[in-house]
This record gives sequence, structure tokens and C-alpha cells, in this order.
Amino acid sequence: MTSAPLSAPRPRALTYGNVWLSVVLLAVMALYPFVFGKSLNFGVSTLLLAGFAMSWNILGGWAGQLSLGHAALLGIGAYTVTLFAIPERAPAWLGLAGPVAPWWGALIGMALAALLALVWGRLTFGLRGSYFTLSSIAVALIIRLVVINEDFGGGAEGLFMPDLPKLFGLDLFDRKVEYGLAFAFVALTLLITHLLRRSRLGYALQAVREDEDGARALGIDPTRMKLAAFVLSAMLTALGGSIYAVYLQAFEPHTLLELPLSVQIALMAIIGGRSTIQGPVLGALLLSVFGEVFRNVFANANLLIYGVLILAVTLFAPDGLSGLFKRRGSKLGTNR
Amino acid sequence: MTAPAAQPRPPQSGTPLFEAQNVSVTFGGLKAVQNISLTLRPGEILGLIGPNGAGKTTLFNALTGFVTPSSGRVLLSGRDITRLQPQVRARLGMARTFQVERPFEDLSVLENVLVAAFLHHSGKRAEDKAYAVLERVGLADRAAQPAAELNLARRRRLELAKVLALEPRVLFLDEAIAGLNPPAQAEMVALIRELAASGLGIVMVEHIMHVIMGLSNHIICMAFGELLAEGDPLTVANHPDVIRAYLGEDDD
Repeated sequence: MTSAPLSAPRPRALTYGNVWLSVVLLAVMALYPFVFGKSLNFGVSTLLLAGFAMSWNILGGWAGQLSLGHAALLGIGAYTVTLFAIPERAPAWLGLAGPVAPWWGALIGMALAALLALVWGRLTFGLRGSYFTLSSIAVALIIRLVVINEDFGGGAEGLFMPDLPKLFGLDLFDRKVEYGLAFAFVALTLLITHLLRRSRLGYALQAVREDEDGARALGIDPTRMKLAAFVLSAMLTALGGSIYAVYLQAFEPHTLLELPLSVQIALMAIIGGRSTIQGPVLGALLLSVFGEVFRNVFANANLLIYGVLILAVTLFAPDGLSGLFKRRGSKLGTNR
Repeated sequence: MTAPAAQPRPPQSGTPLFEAQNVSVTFGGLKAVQNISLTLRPGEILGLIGPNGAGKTTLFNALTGFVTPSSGRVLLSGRDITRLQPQVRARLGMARTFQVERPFEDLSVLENVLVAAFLHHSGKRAEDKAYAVLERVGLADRAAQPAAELNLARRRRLELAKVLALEPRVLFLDEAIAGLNPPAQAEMVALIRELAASGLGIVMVEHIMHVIMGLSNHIICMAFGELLAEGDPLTVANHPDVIRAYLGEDDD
């Protein structure tokens, strides 16, 4: 058995995690438009997916509650910002004088998503095991059906984003501006995750994930902690959803609210590494690059990549790709 | 610490620290615990014994809020806490360990204790508190190690460190000593004595007879969910029913 050195310095638990890796990732993201100025679309969508995976991971990774319904939360953000920007829709129903600027629309969407997460979590977090996952599929399905069958959100045809006011003189439909927004979104999710790493909530979530009764014995209310994680995750996802809507300019429920998008978000986080801070970003990057490369080769067999990757990860790196590095690192540590 | 092991109970005065009144637990038709009452004062150690299946763990769960009693009351400093959740009881000053120790395996030893220290402290103060508790139970040199790598004796100590970080007034220990080798047993016994001397009320379930007889001020022996005998260790040890139901089987 290895014994600790005699005069080992007192170890620290309270850290923000590997901040430098995040700084490097953000620097790469910031430089991307200057190098690949012609592939901004790929950049924006990859950043948004990374942000969604990071947001998902607050609930799925930290609290251990696997959601397969995050597309619904994303959709709430996208739909709210669009509906409030179209004068004859939400503003008219609420008797407002004119359209609501998208940044306010995004905040409203976040509030609605938080509310939904509260109700949804209250109903399902009392149960243990996979009930939450099942319920998340069901809730997303219900929301999709309502949107498709009711007229308020444009029905099955979806919505078009109208002209938007300028944000600090910036045109929101400029790809560079959208890249900036997506970048800010990823940066925010990274920042929040680093803060979570050092916080009481972060530790409580990890305790709940590992052992609910053990956590309860230590004064932690599992339901309340999971609700907090869900609300945080939902609000961030809705924020990303509203940026996504601006980027898409037109969207329909058949792409935005479907299960595959929910699955994709979850898989990026799982493949990247749920128990790490930056894992979801790496997962999003990997899947986006693979998707882009193999789209031309396999055309519609694109989904095959997901299948292969899931198999590879579950077989060879159950903790995700980042877990692979981590494990190698810790092995080096014990051998030393 | 050096006080004689078996002391007569101090004279009754004021509200007890912890009290159970006629607690029963029924699962479907099965009466797992029937009409158990007990009283605990600060600094007192109450031992709970009985053969396997006597209902000790169920009673433990009922006293700590993990199972709701079907009848009876549980009081902490005179306040009725029968229906309070374990997490609320922790805030009020109750803490328990589990028979099968359950560290958060993804976390380091220090982080495990930190989770508990966050109950009453925040930020850096919580970390300092957690480290101080690790020093107290002799685990400070393992602070950075993943909890999953600890051996049984150290896991037990980690379990104790976690509940101590909650700064409880009443401590429930579910087989904290069984399974340890003799030196580790002696260390744990000394630690428990020290805790009681500092004013904690302790309820403990334990299988090792000489340990619990030596530690407890008062002993409750259960069999088939019912009270078989109670009193000071000597009285209970010599009780014919206890010998028949429990000790007789062990000492053949």
C-alpha cells in the first residue's frame, strides 16, 4: 500500500477544478472565427451543442438524473423568444404595444423553463431509478404534440423569426454576432460549472447522485437539490434555445422538439464524460466533427456514428473520453 | 475517558436529550418492532443488542427517520420529531452511521466529510472543519485519497468523521466496531468514550458483547421485535431470557 509522504501539504477540496483547460478551450473557440471564417455555421452549431451538453450535465452528470427531454426546454427558449418577437402573436395576446426584444424574450423563456422544471421535478423526483428518464421522454412528447396540434406556435409548420432590433448596434442575424452569442453561452455554462464545482450545492448533488439515503443522513434534501439542478439546467438550456432560434431564423417542431435532439444532447455529455467539467464540450466537439466528416461519406447513415461511438465509449471508456485521460493520470500518480 | 465502564444511570432530571415512547413498526402484517421505549441523556451510551432479526436495525431506522413508526412517538429535547425526515433531523442535531458503511466513492476522503461540514458551515470554514474532524479520527493523512480506496477500518472512521462533522448532540452508531481487528476496535472504543465524555448522547447497535457491555451505561435487549430485558450491562448480561435468546447461542 502506498503511504502519503510525511510532510505532505494539507490537501484542498475546495477548488474551481481545472480552470486552465477551460481557458484553453475558450481561447480556441475565440480564435476559431479568425481561422475558419468561412465555416461559421459549423462553429455556431458546435458551440450551441456544447452549451446544451454542459447545461444538460448539471442535471445529468452532477445530479445523476438522466433527462431525455431537454429538447423541450430548448424548444421553450426558442419558441418564447420567437413568439414574443412577432407582434401579432404573444404581444397581441398580452395586449402589448409592440414586439418584445429577443433578450427580454430569452429571459421570459428562461423563467418559463424554470417553472416547467419545478413542476416536472416535483412530480417525478420523489421516485427513484429510471422514472425521471421515462417521465422526461413523456413530458417532451406532450409538449411536442401540443405545439404541433395547437395553432399558437405555428403548428406543424413552425415559426419564422421576424426582423429583430439591434443589440448594442449589432445585427443579430450576422453570423459573427451569432458566433459571439453562442460563445458567450458556452462560456457561461463553463463558468457556472466551475462555480458549482466549489459550492455546497455541487457537493450536495454529487452526494445525492451516489447515495440518496447517505446524503439524507448528512442533512441534504435530495429532492430539493435535484430541483435546484434541474432549474439551473433548464434555464441555461432555454437560454441556448433562444440563441438557437435566432441562428436558425426558421424552425419547425419536427426538428426542434424531437427525441433525437434530446438524445444527441445527452450523448454528447455522456461520451465526453459526465463526471468532468469540460467533458461535455469535448463530446460536442467530437460528435460535431465526426458528423461533419462522415456526412459526406455516409450521407444518411450518419446516425451510425452515434451507435458506434456509444458502443466504443461504454466498452472502453465508461467514464467518457475525459475519464480516459483522468484514469491514465491517476495511474501515473499511484506508480510514482 | 477513564471512567468505569458501567455506571449506574444518573438520576432522572429535566427533559431527556432523546426519547422514544412505545415505538412500533409494522411492515404489512409483520410486526418488526413492538412497543420499544428508551431514554437518552447527554453523555450517556445506550447499547442496543439482540440476535439477528430482532429488529434492531428497523428500530434504528425508526428512531432516525428512515422508517416512519406505525405508532409511538420520538422526541428530541422534548420536541416531537416522529414524522420529520432524516435531513431535517440532521439539522436538529441527530446523526447516524450505516451498518454497511457507504462513503461517496467518487469523492476524496476530505470531500466526503466536507459534504457533511456544509450543514453548518460554508466555504473555507467548512473545509477547515472537515479537516479538523479528520485529524480527530486519525484520517488526516488520507484526506486527498479517493474514499473508494480506503480499507474497512478507515471506512468506519470516515463514516464516523462524516457524522461528527454534522456536530450532532445525539449519535446513532450502527455496528461501528464489528469487523474491525482488535487494535482498531480499541481505537474506536476509545473514540466513542471520548465523544460521550464530551457530552454527546450515543445509541449504538453492536454484536461484540464485551465491547458493548464495556461501553454502555444502559442496555436494551430485543428479540423478535420486542423488549426482552433492559438495565445496566451486568443485569442484562445475567438475565436468564437474554442468556437463552442470545448469549446461549453464541457461547456454545
